[in-house]
Amino acid sequence: MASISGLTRRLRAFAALPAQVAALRQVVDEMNHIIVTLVPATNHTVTQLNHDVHAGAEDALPLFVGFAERLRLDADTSIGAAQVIERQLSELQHTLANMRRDG
Amino acid sequence: MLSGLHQIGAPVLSLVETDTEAELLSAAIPGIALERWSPALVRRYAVPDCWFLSTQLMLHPIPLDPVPRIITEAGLPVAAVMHDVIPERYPELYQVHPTPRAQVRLRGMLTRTLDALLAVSAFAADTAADELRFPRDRIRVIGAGVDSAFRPAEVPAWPRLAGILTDDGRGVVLMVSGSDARKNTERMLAAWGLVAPEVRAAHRLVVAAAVNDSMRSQWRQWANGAGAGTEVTFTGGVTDDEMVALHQVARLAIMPSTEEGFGLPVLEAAACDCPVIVSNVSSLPEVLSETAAEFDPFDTASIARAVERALTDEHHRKLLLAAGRRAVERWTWANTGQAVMDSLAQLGARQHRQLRPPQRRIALMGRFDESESGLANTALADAFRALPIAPELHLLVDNDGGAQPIGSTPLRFPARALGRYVHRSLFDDIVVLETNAAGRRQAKAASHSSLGLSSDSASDATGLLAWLGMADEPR
Repeated sequence: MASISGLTRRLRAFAALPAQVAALRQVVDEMNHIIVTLVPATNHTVTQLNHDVHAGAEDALPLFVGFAERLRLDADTSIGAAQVIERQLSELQHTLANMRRDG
Repeated sequence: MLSGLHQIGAPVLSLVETDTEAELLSAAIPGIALERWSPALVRRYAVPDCWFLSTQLMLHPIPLDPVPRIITEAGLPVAAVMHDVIPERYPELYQVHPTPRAQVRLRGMLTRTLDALLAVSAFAADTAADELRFPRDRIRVIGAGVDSAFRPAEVPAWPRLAGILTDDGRGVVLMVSGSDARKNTERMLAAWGLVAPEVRAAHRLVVAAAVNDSMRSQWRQWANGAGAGTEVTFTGGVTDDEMVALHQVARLAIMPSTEEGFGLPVLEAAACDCPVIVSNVSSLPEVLSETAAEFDPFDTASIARAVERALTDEHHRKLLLAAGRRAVERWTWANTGQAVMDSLAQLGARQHRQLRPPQRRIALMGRFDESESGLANTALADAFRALPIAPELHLLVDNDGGAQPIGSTPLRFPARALGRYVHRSLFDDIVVLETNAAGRRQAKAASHSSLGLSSDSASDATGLLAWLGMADEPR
């Protein structure tokens, strides 16, 4: 009886693994998309900032501050993307460790 | 929430990064247990049944590190406070630019790695489950409470409003608003124009909100369009005490929002013994729990009828006051704290995790390039890594001199990233490799240690180990 329940547990764990890996794959794909989207936006912002700095208008100072804030936010978002991947991988590691523990 | 946990005597520890954070928290919650983030602290608390509560996941924009990396590494279960999913539900308003769009998606992905969500209302819980694709059975409702400053006036309130509102004998109908369309200010102003003229003549609508000139001008136009230009006052930004005083002088408070995660102004008004009426959507009916106080926020006639009745029908006003008092008794921070503790005890972690207390780690800060000091520092780092009991070593690389860096490891970050992107709290010690007095002074000012080097990297590495107090540890 015990061996049947153990086998069932293992089968369930193995059955769950592909879905988790697929979810991870999806997250990584989305990360790729986010970063590829953000980088040109950041590039555009820098170009515009350079243009305004060269134009040298005092009235534009609040705009500079706004651009800088957007750049900072983009950088933060990229870091956040890395953290999400780390957490996903950490969860997967725990799942695999549990599977090993369950035999 | 922290104050509620503290009130009920829950074993809660608040983690801070700076002295300023510590001072603010101590002032807000006297006696709260505080400690600075550090690997040593995480090692101490990486024990069964200890949770990490993330209070910042739902802020907009999402801040860095709602779940610090060191918590993920340690394998602690994580629960996050869930305020609302308004940016997710209204992408046409809150996800117009690429960055907020990316942030919303990241928030969803991060949330799905968590063990539990603690929602401020059942509405917030239900919408979060849908929008974030998070299992509803792992979301608990913890509610919210009201600051004790909101209470019936013990000293005259009008003098505290000098500069923003004067007592002209008319009753005050208060709406706490904001620039978001969901606050429904446009319909509220239109509805005010539909209230019976004799009621309007005896009252004025006061809209308290910190908005820019352009928004205020737009609101003024809407008020004029409703024929109520002289009957509406826009206060602009107000202080905390002025906000309390506004509630204390108000004859009626109104919350016509089309969406809220909770609706704290409802409780704040009720706590000041001010009758309050609310829209019949999102979390607001849940907070007040009195159908007689509700109206359809999308129908200006419905809003106007509710305002008129609440100002003229004394029996109805008593019913509204009673509903408010019940709400104030029900929604307290102590109840919130208890709900947090009960929820975590019931839910447990989503899956078993082997706790992995972070090992001791230090960072060496300095040049690691082709310069004379860069080569010496690199030799020390290599010698240190080769020691059998060395802790995990990270390099914080100062390359401002422009010299070519040597090699690259995953545990190598730019020194200028320290603070915002690489947290001080990730390291047990940060050692600045400086040989001159000015460098040592700089290191001391930044609360780092500094170490002068000899020409012998092997003995320097052993010396560093001794300095860290690890030389006598078993190998």
